[in-house]
Amino acid sequence: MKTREKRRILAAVILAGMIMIAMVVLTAFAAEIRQENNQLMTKNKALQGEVDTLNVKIKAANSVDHIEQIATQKYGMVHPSQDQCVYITSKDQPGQNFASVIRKEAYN
Amino acid sequence: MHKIGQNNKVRIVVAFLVMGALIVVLALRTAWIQIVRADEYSEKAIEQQTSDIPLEAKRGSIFDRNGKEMATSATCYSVWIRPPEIRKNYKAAKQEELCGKLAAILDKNAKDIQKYFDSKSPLVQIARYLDKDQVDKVRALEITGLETAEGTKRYYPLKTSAAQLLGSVSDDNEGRSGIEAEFDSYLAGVPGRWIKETDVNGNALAFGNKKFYSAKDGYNLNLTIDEVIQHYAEKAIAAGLKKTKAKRIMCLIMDPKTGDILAMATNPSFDPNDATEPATAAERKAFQKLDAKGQSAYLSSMWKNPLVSDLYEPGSTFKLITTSSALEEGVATPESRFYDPGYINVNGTIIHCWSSGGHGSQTLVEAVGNSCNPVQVQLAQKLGRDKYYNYLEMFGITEKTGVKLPGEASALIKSKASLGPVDQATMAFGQGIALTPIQLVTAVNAIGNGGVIMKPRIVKSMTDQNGKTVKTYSTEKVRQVISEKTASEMRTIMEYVVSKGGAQTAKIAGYRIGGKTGTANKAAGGGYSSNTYSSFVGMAPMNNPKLTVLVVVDSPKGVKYGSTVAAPIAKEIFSNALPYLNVAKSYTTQEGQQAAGEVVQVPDVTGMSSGSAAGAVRAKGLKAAFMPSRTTGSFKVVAQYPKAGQVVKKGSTVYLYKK
Repeated sequence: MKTREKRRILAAVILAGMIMIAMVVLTAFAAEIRQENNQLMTKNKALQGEVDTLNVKIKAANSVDHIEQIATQKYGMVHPSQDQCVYITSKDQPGQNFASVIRKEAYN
Repeated sequence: MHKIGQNNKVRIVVAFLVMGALIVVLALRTAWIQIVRADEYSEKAIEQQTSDIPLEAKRGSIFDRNGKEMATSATCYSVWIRPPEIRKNYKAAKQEELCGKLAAILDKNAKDIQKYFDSKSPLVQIARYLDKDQVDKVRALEITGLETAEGTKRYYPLKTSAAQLLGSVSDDNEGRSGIEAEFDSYLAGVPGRWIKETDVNGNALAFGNKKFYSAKDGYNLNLTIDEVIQHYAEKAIAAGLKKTKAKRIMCLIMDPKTGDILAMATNPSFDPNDATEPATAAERKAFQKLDAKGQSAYLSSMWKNPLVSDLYEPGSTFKLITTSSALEEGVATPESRFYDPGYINVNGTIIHCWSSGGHGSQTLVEAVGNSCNPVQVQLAQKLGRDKYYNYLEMFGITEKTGVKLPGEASALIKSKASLGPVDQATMAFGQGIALTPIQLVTAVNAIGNGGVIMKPRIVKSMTDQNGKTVKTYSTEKVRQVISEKTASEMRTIMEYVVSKGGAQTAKIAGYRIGGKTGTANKAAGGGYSSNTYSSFVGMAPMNNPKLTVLVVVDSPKGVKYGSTVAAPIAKEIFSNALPYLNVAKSYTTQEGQQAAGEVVQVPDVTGMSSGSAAGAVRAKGLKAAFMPSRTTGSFKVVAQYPKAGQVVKKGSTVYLYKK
């Protein structure tokens, strides 16, 4: 067998070997990625569950009853009496800067 | 060239033959498995590797009319143990230590957890409905034989508010009562399936088969309930229950123009977040002593919505129906005069008025204001039995309202054929007839809606998880039962009852409120007991009604009249709900003059000591309140509300702030 032919056979064997090794490595990589994907999906589900639970707590804290309790007991706020309610419509025009009027009237 | 010896040649041939034989055997064995027994092994592989995981559908949420969540689902966790494995892996001392740690995390008794450890069962649930923080702490203990599982829990952020209306779900997330039960098929959705080939740890195989059937999440419900008005109703009846020491108070608020149910409140209530536990400690103690049948009956009674399921005798509130019928038929006008000597003789039976001396001569308007029984009897007699029953039918009293809530009851009315003159007489003023609160309000709503009865509506629409509307429930007109003229006359009469008649405890200066009180003895043992259903049905503002409020107080202690126990609760509700609905006050001349004579200027008390400040405030005919509430001891007033110089009504409260 000539040296050139021997070299060709050797190169072919090495190439085939490398291709097979690459296939094995890629398959293992794919499996690893899939495993990681599964773990991330599980983690995502758990986090979504935590988000839902926290949302429930937020909603409970935003209930009218809870807000009224905190406002009156912690911050000393009071309900305005009916005589202190002023009704305005879209047709009403304030004489001056409305925000400054409210600020002036609201604070002692 | 080196010659290979004969022996080596033989050895190579023998080795080749042995290898060849082994390969042939291997090939035959492979063929046996892959071809001959292919089906059997395929089946086993599919059975072992295929996992069919049910995918829970997300249960739909329930919202109020403004989009505030009243019921929603979220992930929760449960903790399970395998007692034999625990006992195998841990000695007694270590078990005790683990019980202590678990008890601290799970907020349980260590001894109870030890009982679970000692159980003979292979698998025991020791805690459920835990949040992620708790379950992470449990997992961190790394206890062999302990596992955690994920599930879904239904949460009700408003807690006891509207509990009977919303209902609750079972541990399997199936609707058990209320809206949850009535609309369970819409809320539940359809579970999905995830069929995949998995490895021993349950992870999907890289090149395995997969089939995914996604779950169809449940629909969301948008109710007609207004969370703010519901809150006002709950607050008012809670205060009323404390004051009257009644057995229970119910409140129903509707929009007369649309039939929308804006609030449905009952007290005592329960917390649907823990629906199998009675609300108070005393009730829980009594509940524990009941047997299984007794507990089941107790829970059914607790979950029931009495505003649609319970019958009660409406008493004088029913006079609105009798009077409307009489006006519509023309057998009386608002100016018709009647004489009440204090009783009326009906076929030999004397029926007394509540006022033993009688009301004397009075117009129909005055008679309703006085809640005069003999006048109502006369109206019913003039109508006659057939026409009276005809109006009962038209007002919807003889049939269910059809509201989309479970367990709606039908009224108890004596049959027309067996109705005697005395029966008809008592029915005219609301005794001898039993109906549900929702039937009464639905009928009275016609007075505020030009004589048209609207079907009660509790659900406005259904939306999917993306917010897209999938079904709308429109308002539904039932029938015109009285003319607009009669309805207008009835509104005038109702307004008279509150402004000058027997329901003045519901009056609010500046608001036109109409209504009628009722006090009916409760039926018991074939007769009547001394306990009463004391009620008030009101409507406001009478020039353009936006609210109908019914308050029913069941068995108040002490004073029992509807005007004393029920009307003030309705007044409290109107005083909060009407400003919320942007109904502005409009004083009559008399009210304006009265208000003008009773105003004072708020003194400047900022910087004074609390005692001196309170004295200065009270000297002006005002009340003083310290903030924060429950403040004791003297302090320097740093701020006040209303501010100094503001003109307020006498008797108003001035808040003095400590900080």
